[in-house]
Amino acid sequence: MVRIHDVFETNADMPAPELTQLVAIYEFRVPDVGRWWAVVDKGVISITGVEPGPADCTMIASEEEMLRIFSGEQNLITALMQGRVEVEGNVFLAQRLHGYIRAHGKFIVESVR
Amino acid sequence: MSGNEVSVLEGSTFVVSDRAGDIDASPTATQGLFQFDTRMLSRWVLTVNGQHPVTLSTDDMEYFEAQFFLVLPTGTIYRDSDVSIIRKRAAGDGFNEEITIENHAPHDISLDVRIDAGSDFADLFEIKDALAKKGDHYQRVEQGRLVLGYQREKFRRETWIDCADAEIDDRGLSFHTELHGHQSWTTTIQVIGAIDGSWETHSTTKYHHSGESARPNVGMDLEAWLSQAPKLVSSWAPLARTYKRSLIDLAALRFSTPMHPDEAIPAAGLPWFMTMFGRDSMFTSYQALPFAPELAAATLTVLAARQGSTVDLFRDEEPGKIMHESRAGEMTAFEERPQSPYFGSADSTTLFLILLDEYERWTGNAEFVRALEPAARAALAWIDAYGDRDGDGFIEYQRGNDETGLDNQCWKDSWNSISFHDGTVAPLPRATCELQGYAYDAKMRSARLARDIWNDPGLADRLEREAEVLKRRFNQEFWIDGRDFYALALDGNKRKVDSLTSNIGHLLWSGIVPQERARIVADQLMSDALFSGWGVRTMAEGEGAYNPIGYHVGTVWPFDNSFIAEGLRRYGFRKEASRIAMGIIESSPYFNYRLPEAFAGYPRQETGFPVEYPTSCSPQAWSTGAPLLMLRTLLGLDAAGDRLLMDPAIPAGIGRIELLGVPGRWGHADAFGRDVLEVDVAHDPESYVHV
Repeated sequence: MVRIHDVFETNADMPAPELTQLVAIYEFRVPDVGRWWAVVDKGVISITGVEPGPADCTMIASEEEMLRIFSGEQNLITALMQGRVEVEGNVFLAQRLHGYIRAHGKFIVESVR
Repeated sequence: MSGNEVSVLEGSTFVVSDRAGDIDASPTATQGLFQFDTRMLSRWVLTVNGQHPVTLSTDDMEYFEAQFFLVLPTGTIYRDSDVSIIRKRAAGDGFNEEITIENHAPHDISLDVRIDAGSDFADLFEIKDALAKKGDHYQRVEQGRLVLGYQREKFRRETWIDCADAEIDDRGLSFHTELHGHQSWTTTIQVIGAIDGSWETHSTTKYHHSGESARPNVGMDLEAWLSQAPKLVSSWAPLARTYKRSLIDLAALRFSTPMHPDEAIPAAGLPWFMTMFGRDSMFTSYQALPFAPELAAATLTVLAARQGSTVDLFRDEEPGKIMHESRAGEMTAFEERPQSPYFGSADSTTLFLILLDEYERWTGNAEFVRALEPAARAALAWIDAYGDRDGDGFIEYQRGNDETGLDNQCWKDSWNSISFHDGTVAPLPRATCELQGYAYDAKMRSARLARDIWNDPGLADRLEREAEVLKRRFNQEFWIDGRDFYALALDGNKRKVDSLTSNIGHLLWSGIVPQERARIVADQLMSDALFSGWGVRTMAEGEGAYNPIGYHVGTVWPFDNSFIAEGLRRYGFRKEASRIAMGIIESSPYFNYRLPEAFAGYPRQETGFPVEYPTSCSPQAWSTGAPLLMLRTLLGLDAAGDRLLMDPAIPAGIGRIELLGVPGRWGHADAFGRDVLEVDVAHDPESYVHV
């Protein structure tokens, strides 16, 4: 079974040419499992388990939900609308990441399998 | 909206009630308080001493505020009522309602006031399609508040009703008061759309009365909005009044999405389309460019942020594609509908490029165009990679979502709009003619941006070459020799869909028509078959599918006509353009100066007045924008470098038109023109009132 920990560890650095104009820190908070941060800078996403600074956008969801989102199985926007994911901070940044996950999410989780 | 209904709106909130201010929703009465596509209140009924007050008059003073003047019935016309009731309502994150009861009698009276409240929390799609809810409703009273709620899994919506003076139970509010002679009593109630799908819980409504006027706060208030718009000076009453009504309605239709709270974009229309539609928002922003260019910037910003990134058949999404419709209700959240967002329009992507170029021409905001360069390049790539599905050089559409996707993905999106001369519906995929015009224009305009702003002359050359090829091939494949007009579309078998329609006017607007054919197209548009006397019909009389009260097959759409008129101006047909502009604006007094989405296509000489289309949205954003673009057409306004060009062609008899303070890259400039053009229009002498 794929764990969210493995997904973030395996994808520590990812090119994200769609996000070249974005500089932001995301936090992924998985209750009872852990917290990870994604630093987006100049078209690269770097994931870390050490807090790099205050997050601009924090997404909170269960491990199952987070995996479904990163695999592309669950649309992030409808997960937000249903209340399955909570967002703190800049919601617009969640949408920017949504576009990236839509294009690449499938590969993020498959890389762990 | 029915004439028996009153609506107030602000941002994503709108309230539709009867003329007494009551809300009593039913399958046939789409009344309620709506926020983000959910009906937050479906019952709000006032009684006094068990009686329903009778309406004297209603005043929707501002778009977000209304007053209802009521009396208690006496049961006979021989005795005047002693009790009057005034309800003042202001919309915004719910609504604030102030109720005042005045005792006009010299003696004391005892009053039992009751408001029954309830909510079905229906998604707009559930209302339209009469579908049942899947979650659970609840009510509770807590700390002087009635909470109406709905929950399905983790999806939750709540309406809070607060009133300090009321006795509250789980079905409404009760008040008891004793009034001495000539005394009055007032209470204020907040109906808060508390948990509505935006990311924050609202704990109060936006506006309170408390002796002061309520104020809107979407970007700027109405007074500031009106004062910043160009000032129109015209002795032609229909134009002056329609202009003011349009500006007010455009202000009312501005709304912000939860994802982009700082960007005020035009929503498509009340009541069904109070949300973002790519096509509608872009057409409206284009129409409004010389008046409120900030709408275009906001629209382009939001659409770029939500540009398609992957192939998703359910949402008809493709990389680079610009979205069609965004919704926030329950059915969308649970993916029972695809609007999260939905990408089923084949014209939004090219319109995005057209608007981007026009915005830069007017404002000179090159920095903005540079920031949107990646989105524009992705949109250009979509045209060839996905728009042209079969590699024949034309954009065609066929939905990927067979259950809930749109069959027709052009602006005429009703089921029978793309029909042959004999009335049969064309098989899919369909390549409608205006899509090719938009693609041509998008490439030509993007070539200018590539050369002048993106510093990519190679791309500019390529786009111009591609546009020329498209123009040549389009003129070969779509022209119908025997009937002398462009086919409405090529169908799935590449047959010409041979109905004469208003779409050919959009071809003029796009520039894809060679000069030698423009006169023929103009004559077709002004023929009795297409021109009703008020405007160009969506489909010509005599076509198999023609129906003067058919949504896209015979009605007259003000928005459609505004682009047709602008297209005629592009090719120098100023009389024809003015005739259309005059016809549409002359229709406006019959709609209280608020142009509807569409009206019937009956000939003007038969009916003498424009006949209403039964389910027309009003206000509708691009109808609101139509008079604005028509003003541009009449005055012949264009941006040329850092100057505002004027080339007026104003029909004789309507006097001088002055448009003062047109914003643009020149700062502010005045435009004016005198009526010297002889146009054959059946004038209504009553309409020439000096104001």
